[in-house]
Amino acid sequence: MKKQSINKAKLGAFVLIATTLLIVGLYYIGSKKNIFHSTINVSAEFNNVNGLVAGNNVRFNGINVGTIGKVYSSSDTTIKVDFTIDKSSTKYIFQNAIASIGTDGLLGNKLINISPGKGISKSVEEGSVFNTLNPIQMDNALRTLTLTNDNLKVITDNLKGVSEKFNNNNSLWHLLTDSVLAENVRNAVVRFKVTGDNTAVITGDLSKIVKDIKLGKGSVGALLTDTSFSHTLNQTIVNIHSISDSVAIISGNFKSISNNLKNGKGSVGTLLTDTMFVHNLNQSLLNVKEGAGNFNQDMIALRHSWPFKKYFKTQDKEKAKK
Amino acid sequence: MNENPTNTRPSVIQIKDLKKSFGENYVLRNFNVDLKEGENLVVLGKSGSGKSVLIKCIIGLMLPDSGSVQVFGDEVTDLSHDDLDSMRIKVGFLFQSNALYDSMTVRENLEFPLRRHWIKSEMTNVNDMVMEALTNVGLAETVDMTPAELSGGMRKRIALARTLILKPKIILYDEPTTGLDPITGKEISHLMLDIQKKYNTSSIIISHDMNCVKITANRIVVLIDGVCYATGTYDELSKSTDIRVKQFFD
Amino acid sequence: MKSSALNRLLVETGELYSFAVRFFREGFRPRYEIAELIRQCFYIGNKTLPLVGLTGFIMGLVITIQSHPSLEAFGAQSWLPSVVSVSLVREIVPVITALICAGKIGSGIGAELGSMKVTEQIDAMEVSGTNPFKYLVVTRVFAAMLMLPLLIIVCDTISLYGSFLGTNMKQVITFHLFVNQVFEKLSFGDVLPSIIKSFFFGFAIGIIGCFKGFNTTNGTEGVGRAANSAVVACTFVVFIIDLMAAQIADILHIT
Repeated sequence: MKKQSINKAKLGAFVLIATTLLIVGLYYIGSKKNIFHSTINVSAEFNNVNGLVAGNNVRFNGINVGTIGKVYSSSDTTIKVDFTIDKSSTKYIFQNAIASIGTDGLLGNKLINISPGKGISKSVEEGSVFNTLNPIQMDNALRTLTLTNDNLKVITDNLKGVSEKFNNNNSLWHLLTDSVLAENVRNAVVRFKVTGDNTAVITGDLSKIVKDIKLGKGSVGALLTDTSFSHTLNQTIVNIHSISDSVAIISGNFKSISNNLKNGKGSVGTLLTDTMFVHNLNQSLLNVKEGAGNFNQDMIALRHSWPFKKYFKTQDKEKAKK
Repeated sequence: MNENPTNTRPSVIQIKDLKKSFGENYVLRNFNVDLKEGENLVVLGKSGSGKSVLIKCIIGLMLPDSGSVQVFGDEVTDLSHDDLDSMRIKVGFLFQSNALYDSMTVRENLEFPLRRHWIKSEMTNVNDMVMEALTNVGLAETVDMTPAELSGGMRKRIALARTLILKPKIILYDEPTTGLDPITGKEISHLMLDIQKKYNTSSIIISHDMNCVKITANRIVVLIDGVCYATGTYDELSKSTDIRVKQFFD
Repeated sequence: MKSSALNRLLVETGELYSFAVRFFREGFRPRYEIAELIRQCFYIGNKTLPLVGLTGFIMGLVITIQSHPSLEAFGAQSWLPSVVSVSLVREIVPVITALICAGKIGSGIGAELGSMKVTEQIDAMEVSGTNPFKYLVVTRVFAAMLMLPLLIIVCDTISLYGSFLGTNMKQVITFHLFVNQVFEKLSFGDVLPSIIKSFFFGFAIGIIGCFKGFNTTNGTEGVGRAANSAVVACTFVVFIIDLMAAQIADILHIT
């Protein structure tokens, strides 16, 4: 048996490498847990923390900046959360920033999101207390959105019905030789078309708004939690709904008239000499015109109602740019 | 060679009424023997008759059940650990299987006994001591080899050198020629004798190899059934008519 | 004197216990065999490293490949690095390393001391004024205690690299992202208990190997038996310690 030579240098290298690996590893772990960073202690109060626990992350605009230290009840309705923030991140986090409870991904851990407040304020310092936004109840928001979507679907269905009715009755134009009547009808139809276009635009806008709300873009997202606004929105939609209902009724009448015409209840000549009928027809078309006018007005009113004002303005600006 | 000139000298080892048993098996019962200064005492006995146990009791590797073992007048069983160590500097032990450390070179093997003692002694040149001990056994050239590279006789010599390096006053040999061919056995026996003359040591030699016994023994103790059955010089015992003594000399 | 299996087990456990007590009594008193300790550290540390490192690498690779399908079923492939790294660092690497050391170091010590015992080398040391318990047992047990945690740390690193390669077989991931995901999930609670328990693994392997070697009887045949029973006992005790460590960590909420 040859005596194995022991190499102290090799042993030393092994020990040093292993120790270094341990130290580096612990440092990495520690740096994720903010143990080796200099931090400041801040806090925030919530009504509900949705299961936030010590050790969860604190994010500022999506970057990890700290860790939750302690979560405890500070009164019967408020939960106080103490957490740390990296000193290096404090420069851009102002005292008016808003802390809210969020979730990391769909199933992930709870965390605190810090989003910048409006305006300029001092940077956070040791002991700062953040303003908070109570967590958005996701199911409530979704419920409202569903209602809005349903309403919109009814509206577009109705509008589709109206335009189909018109499309299916092309022969009407040939039947009607009365130029005045034809002119009136044409005008009315043009009006309808305009109205329809407007409605389409508004529907588009509405769907965009809804999309934006879904994405929680800007203050509109926040507006959703404002119940009075959603009430207004609902009301508007109901109005739109009732307008299109009336339009449908009117065009239904119109259709029955033209069906009568088509089915040859009396000859066209007879029909046209019957002044009573013509008068009625005229009256009907006037009603339709008026109805469409009202609808247009409603839409214009909607454009000017305050929650959408800014939105439409920016839309117009964008259009202008194009 | 076979006369015993040491009867009048003082005893270095005195054993009285030594008893040692393993369970039901009594290997030593009331064993008495003295080792005089400068004497080569051979303990003769069959395998398993407790010869090795006897010298392990002397060196303190085993504790006797009862009786007294005195080395230089000190009771071995009463010695503290440190005193036992200093006693062991004066008493060398040559193991039957040599007990060379396989993982070390010859040099390290020889240096090993010095580890404990070199701090207190004036030994300044360890290398000189190693070479001196190796030269005494005639194997100075093997200093950087490992025990596995050596033959049985060489290993026995190295083991002897390791025992000698502390210059003990007493050397205990546990079957020094067992496992060696007769010629090598004789060489070892003569080496033991040379060393005894050179360093003026006293020895207890455990053996059943009659060649070795004949060469080395000043006095022989026959160990049978755990007691000192007979004692005398080689000549006296070889003429003995006792059947149990005689069997060793046939 | 009964020598039923149970009786022998009890006697051996008692002897092992007093052997361990003797280790603590003698291990912390001078004189210290520093040179021999370093020698043993070299044998136990450096000489075991290639074997342990290769095993760790393969374990990292295999566990990653095996975990991929079940995570994929949940669409959670991106969790692969963090999930695998936690199970590697917490459990797999320490236990695998300890088992390999039980096989290599435990049997090595058992056979070495066993052969020293039967060729009277241990007695020779005693006679030479060197306390064989300190020189042979204390140094080996301490070396095992010191080296096992280091082996496990190196093995952790190697197995995580194996896991990185395994992850890359199924999906494309940069090394940087892998490291980030691993350390995102790893905590002190994963690393420290595994380091602490590895001290106990080292102690158990060292003390059992020495105990079996030190108490070898019946010549060369006994050496083989000492080495064999050292491996068996070390393996068993490693699992017992692992169980205890898991329970203690659970009670102390170290997760």
